[in-house]
Amino acid sequence: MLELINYTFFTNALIATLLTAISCGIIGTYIVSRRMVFIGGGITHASFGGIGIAYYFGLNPLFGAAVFAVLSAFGINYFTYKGNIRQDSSIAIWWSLGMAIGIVFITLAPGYAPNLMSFLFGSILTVTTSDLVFMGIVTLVAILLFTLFFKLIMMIAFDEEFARTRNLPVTFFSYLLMMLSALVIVASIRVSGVILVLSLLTLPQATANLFTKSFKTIMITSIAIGLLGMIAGLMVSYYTNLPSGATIILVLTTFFGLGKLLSKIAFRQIS
Amino acid sequence: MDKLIDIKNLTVGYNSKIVLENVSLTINKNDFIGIIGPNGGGKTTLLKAILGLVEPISGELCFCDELKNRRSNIGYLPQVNKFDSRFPVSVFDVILSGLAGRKSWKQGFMKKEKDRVNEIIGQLGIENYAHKPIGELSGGQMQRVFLGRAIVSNPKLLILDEPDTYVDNQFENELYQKLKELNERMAILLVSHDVGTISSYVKSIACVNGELYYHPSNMITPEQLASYNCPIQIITHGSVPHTVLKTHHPHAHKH
Ligand SMILES: Nc1ncnc2c1ncn2[C@@H]1O[C@H](COP(=O)(O)OP(=O)(O)O)[C@@H](O)[C@H]1O
Ligand SMILES: [Mg+2]
Repeated sequence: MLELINYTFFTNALIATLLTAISCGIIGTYIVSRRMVFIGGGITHASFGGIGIAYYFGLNPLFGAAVFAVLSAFGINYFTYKGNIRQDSSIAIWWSLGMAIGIVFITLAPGYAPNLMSFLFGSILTVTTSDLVFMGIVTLVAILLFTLFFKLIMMIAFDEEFARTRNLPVTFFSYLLMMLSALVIVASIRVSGVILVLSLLTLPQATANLFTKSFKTIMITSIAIGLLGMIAGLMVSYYTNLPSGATIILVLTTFFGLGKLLSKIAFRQIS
Repeated sequence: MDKLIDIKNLTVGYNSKIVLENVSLTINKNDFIGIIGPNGGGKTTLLKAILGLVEPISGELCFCDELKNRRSNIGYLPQVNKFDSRFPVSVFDVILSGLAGRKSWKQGFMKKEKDRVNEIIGQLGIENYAHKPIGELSGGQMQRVFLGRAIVSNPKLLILDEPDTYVDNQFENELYQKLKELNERMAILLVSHDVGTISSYVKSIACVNGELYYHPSNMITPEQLASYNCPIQIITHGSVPHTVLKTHHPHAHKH
């Protein structure tokens, strides 16, 4: 097993795992606590439109995905605030529009698009150094933002309206965190793909939430759970030759099941 | 009288749909105004306009001397079911957020602020669950916590939006007793649909139903309610002294 470390692709995959665990642990806790998971889904699928357009014009797909993700995040947020469209409808529109644009442009693109599957389902073993740089920056920003403004972010997330009455910079931070969420999602597409990325933002959190009801502890625990699950998933996929993204999700789901069982037993012993 | 807020001909709405039209109201120090009116009449909207949560379409909203720095000097208890009760946050932190302001979000909270939260927790008698996640509280416990959040900053004006829904009688009595006490230090604006109960605590009544009729006493008759365009039922409870409710219909005393 240790001999794997000698391969660059594997070292890259490990670094990507660490960065994804941290950024998804942080942002996922925010998204889950604010009940924004469906928004996350909208952003994720909308970003596929960017991937398609980038393919067509021969640009970096992750760059296209980032632009589309941030645009759709702002679009959904804007509709929610100015709202003549209900939020869930607005999300669904961005969701399917992004997928449609992506599919049309990839079909129009000259030649065969070999990496399509990797964007849909992830391919952590093909992570490049420039991907890692992007992931690193996003993760660093997430860490900085949540350490410097933890209390503020919590207050806004818990009760936005009350935070406004306290004169807190609610709108600015809502947009900032929306943008960061979009970028974290795009950075994680490498690991688990458009279709599976939502679970990286929710499964570790749901597992952590079984044992603690503190925002900070959920955040830290889900980083650990995510890291463990991704490394275990990676190993299983390496030795079984199964796709890494899907294997990671299955491992994380197993963790959740085990957690549920454990918490049941633990609570029975207490009472 | 020391004025706190002067509202003149205020019109408020959402996306050009007008909810409140030409509303005027003066809030003085020591006031205890009960706001009543039918559902959808615009009570919450009026409070939100005062709090700066909705921009008025026209009219004046003037904050006088001690409220100049308006929002940080107003305490707010929102209508229930607004927030997410499963949000992972402790009672202590919820109350602490009532002290948040321009300074604290950059520097974090100091010991002085945490001491103040503990003081409020003591005053409200909620030590038992001060460090529990809010998701584990009952309706009445939850309202105590939100009352704590509203008053922890020692505001000049306390605004409460139906704090008496989904709570038990015991808490209701406690709440009104507490408000009476607080009223010695701050003006109170209280929305309730229970005119019968609040009329023994408030000093004046405002009927809000698209418009606002100010009634400068806590005694109000069903006829007056009708003439104020305020079609609400008067519910009287056995525990409430009926004398405060001036009734011309003898049968209104029965329930
Ligand atoms: N955010 C909003 N957007 C659009 N309409 C709203 C909004 N909030 C309230 N309304 C409408 O404004 C009217 C008054 O609501 P509200 O002030 O909550 O009444 P009350 O508190 O007296 O029950 C209602 O018709 C309601 O549907
Ligand atoms: Mg209301």
